[in-house]
Amino acid sequence: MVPDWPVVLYSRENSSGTYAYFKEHVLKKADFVAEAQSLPGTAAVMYAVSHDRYGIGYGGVSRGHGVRLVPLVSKTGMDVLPSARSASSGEYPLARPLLVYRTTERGGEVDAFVRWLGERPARALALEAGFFPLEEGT
Amino acid sequence: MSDPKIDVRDLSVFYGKKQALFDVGLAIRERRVMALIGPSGCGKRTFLRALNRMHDLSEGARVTGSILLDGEDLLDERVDPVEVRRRIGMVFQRPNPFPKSIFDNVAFGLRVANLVTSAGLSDRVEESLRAAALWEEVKDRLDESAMSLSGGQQQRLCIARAVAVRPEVLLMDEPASALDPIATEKIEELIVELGKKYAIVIVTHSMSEAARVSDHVGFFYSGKLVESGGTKQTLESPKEKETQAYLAGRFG
Amino acid sequence: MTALARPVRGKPRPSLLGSTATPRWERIVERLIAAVAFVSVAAVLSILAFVAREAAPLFWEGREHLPDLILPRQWAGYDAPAHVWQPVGFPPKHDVVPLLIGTLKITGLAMLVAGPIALLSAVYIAELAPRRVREVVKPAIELFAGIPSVVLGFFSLVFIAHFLERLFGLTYRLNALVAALGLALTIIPVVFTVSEDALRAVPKSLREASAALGARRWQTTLLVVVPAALPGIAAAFVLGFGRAIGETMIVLMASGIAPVVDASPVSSARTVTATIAAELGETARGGEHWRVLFALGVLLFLITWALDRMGASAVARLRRRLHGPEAES
Repeated sequence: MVPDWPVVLYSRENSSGTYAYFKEHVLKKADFVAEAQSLPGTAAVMYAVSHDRYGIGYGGVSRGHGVRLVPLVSKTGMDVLPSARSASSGEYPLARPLLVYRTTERGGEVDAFVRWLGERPARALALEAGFFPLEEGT
Repeated sequence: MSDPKIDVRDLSVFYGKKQALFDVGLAIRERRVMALIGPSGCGKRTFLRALNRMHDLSEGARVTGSILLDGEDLLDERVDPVEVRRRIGMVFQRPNPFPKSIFDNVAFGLRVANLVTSAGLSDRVEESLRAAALWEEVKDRLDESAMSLSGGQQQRLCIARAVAVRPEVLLMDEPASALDPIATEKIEELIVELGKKYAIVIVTHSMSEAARVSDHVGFFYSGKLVESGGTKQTLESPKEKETQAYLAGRFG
Repeated sequence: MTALARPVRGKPRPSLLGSTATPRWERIVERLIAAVAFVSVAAVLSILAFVAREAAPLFWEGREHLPDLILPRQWAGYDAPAHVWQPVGFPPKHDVVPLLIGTLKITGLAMLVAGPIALLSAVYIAELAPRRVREVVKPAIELFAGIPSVVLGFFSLVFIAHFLERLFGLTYRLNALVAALGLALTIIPVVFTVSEDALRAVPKSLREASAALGARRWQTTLLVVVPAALPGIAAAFVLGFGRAIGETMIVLMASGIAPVVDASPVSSARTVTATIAAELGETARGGEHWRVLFALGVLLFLITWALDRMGASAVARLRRRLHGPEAES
């Protein structure tokens, strides 16, 4: 039995990248309803959804420890869970890169840091933090 | 002579441990003005405020003895002090009208006691203002704030307010001391006039005022009633030496 | 006095002309105080100028968007013309009406709850409570004003929200009422303290006059003391309202911050303050969104200022009515 009860949407603040990404790729540039609650982070969304029987929300998988992941249907009609492979292959439909910006000025500490980002220890750290690192060499 | 309106016996007042009034006995007559005189701090005001149980309002004040109003002791613990104050009105040293309209000031006592219907209210207000010789000056502006009146008018308003509930006794605490000579004269005329209807007890620091308005005087000194009697006789030929010294201007 | 001068009984009087009008150090101190006062006025004015400067280009850049700030518009994908606040969108929609509704709703509710509670406690503490009770309760309530609003926000978010949900089974756990109750906790000490001071400042002579006319204690309180303290109580409410309308942290945490256009007390709401706090950090500097947020800041400033002026003139009018024309100051 499903009671007749409004579904409560837990969204993110419009200052967050996740909000903008979700709006662009899931809502196809349509607006959230005004009633969508704005929360300051994925953790807050998870907390809210876990305390609300009729709540749904979204968030980055990197903060999703202890959450049962729900598979999405890919373009090819398969159920896919978010993973390093499905994310980088593009099979999982909601993946977005984390970009690092820098000035055009070359050399010095910044160059060294960017090089380090592509190396194995940095990728291990990214994995630990819940992100899916790029394949080596990309 | 008939029974006194108020018969005070063995009245003592304490503030905490300090005794301010010692075993005072005094009779206050119907339709007479009794003036209480004496130097500052002599207990005359303490005595006055005992008569309408104002000491009930201050923490730590204690009153013993008896005050018989028509034979009933108003210090009896079964007596409601609010009922006492409805029968014994009071006018204070400084005019203290409420920050309300002139009308509402006079009607205040009637309203809180639910004494008259609203139809009778304006008649009673007019009657009281006339009794206080203020009606002609304010009849066209009863809705204006009482604070817009002059000091003398304010004091007469306070008298009108006090007589509106038709008290049996009127207490006055140096009612003219904050006023200029002309306003003082009007208040004194009023006291004489009201003295024909009520028993009035007035505290004053002015001997000439006591002489002008009162029938009897009581002289207080150091918390004791030293001497009382007819005004003319007491002021002109006091019996006690403290009274003689005070009237001669040696202290006070 | 020179060493040769013989000490005399009574010092010789210096000439009056030798003393310049005011001693120099006194003039220096006066100037310093004036300078400090000037600095604080200048600080307020320059804040306003800075905020207004960021907002002002709205009126000449992209002027065609101006009506969208306050008028409903038919947007693609909406059933009817609507007030929409979706500043990150395609296209961005900057209608501030939902935010004003949210602010009004939460502030109004908070005043509705806090006003009577604060006033009644003030009357009780000032007029009726025994001295020992007053000595405990008054500082306790005033201490309340010192609790950081983020703590109250957290309290509202967790406890008040939970309590209301249990009590009413609300759709939206975080809503205007939750935020308003949290906000009420910050207003109560303000309204209480100022009202209580106003009540205590009513002269004893008025209470005595009332008692001497045969009024009971509650009659004196209700008919004399409270009316006489009304200017001060009005000032307390204005102060409380100003405090409420500017509060940010509690509403950010407890209101659900959804830009809803309705009058229900238990739907979520988004206030002007929470919007500025949440959005300004990730807004492109100089963009339309940025400018609108600054315009909201100016609006908030003006509302608070207007409220303050209205309050002050109401207080003055009340005081004149109550105490006669001489009681200007």
